[in-house]
Amino acid sequence: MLVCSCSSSKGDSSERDTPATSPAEDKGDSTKASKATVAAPDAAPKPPPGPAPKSVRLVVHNTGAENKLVTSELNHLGLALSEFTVTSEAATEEESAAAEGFAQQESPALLESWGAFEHVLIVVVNAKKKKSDQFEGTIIILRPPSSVPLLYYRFDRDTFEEGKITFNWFHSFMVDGEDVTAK
Amino acid sequence: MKIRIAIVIPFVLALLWPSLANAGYNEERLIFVNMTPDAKTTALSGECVQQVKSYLGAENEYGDLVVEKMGETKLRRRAGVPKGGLPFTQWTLAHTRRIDPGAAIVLVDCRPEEKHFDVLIKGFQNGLVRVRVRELELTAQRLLSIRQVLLEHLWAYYAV
Repeated sequence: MLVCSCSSSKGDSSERDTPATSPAEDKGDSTKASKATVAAPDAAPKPPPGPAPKSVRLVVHNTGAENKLVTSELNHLGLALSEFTVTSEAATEEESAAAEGFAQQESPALLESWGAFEHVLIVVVNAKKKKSDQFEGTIIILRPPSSVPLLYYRFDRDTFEEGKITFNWFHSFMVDGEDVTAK
Repeated sequence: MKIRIAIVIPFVLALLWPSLANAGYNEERLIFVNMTPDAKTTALSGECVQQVKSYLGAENEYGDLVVEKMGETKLRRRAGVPKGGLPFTQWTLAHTRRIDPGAAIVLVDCRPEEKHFDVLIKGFQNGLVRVRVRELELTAQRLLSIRQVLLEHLWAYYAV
């Protein structure tokens, strides 16, 4: 199994440095303000405002040859996940079998749980030969407890050049956004 | 005689100009088919399919891409897959070669109300891509992601 060198969540430093202002502070609630001073005399960094980074479990499953190109592309994929809290947890045998099933025919595998994460990102790669640039890749995004993939993306290429195909786009399927279809 | 030549040469040049202007660029054909079932077709699904189609022109600065429309019935007959047969998202390169070995192919089924989106892309070079989205709104950001995937895979490894 390949291991992705995925980074953990990345906070926006400019947001983090800006103290969060609560409605109570706006109204000059001195009691609450003094309590905050006692609790954090050294002005420890406060968590960034807004929702916490989404937790993602990353399951990488290589069904083909160990291949430098595949390893490199998985690193690109890891970078694309930098805004999430990523846990790389090895798949159980049952999960590996389900992942392979997903990769082959997009039908949902009936597993009861992929773990207590907001999303599960399953990456199945199949390098056709050790030094070859031919490979298949599948990225599946699940939102437990549903076993219906939010995104199923599969490519099969005879020629694959490093960095030619990007992986930074798929996280739009893991975050909320404006609904353009609502009228 | 000289007068005749003076009239004929500009006339011939004018006729040939479009092909001379595009000299050096191969014309490429792309087959685009709306695979949304008739019973599921709505105004929103039509808009969505047109939106995806509009992305194809994004990298057509030389005007060498010719988008050919084809009906689903003709497409399925060429692919050898009857209605109700293998879903198009599971078609292989062999299916796409039977449709047209020399063309790129984009097949789209978009149903925004049902949160259902499928696309199959066979690029100008060999390679097949499928994207399937379920249970998610088709937001502007997600459509932009689909555009990125579409263009990347369509023109991947393409050389003039």
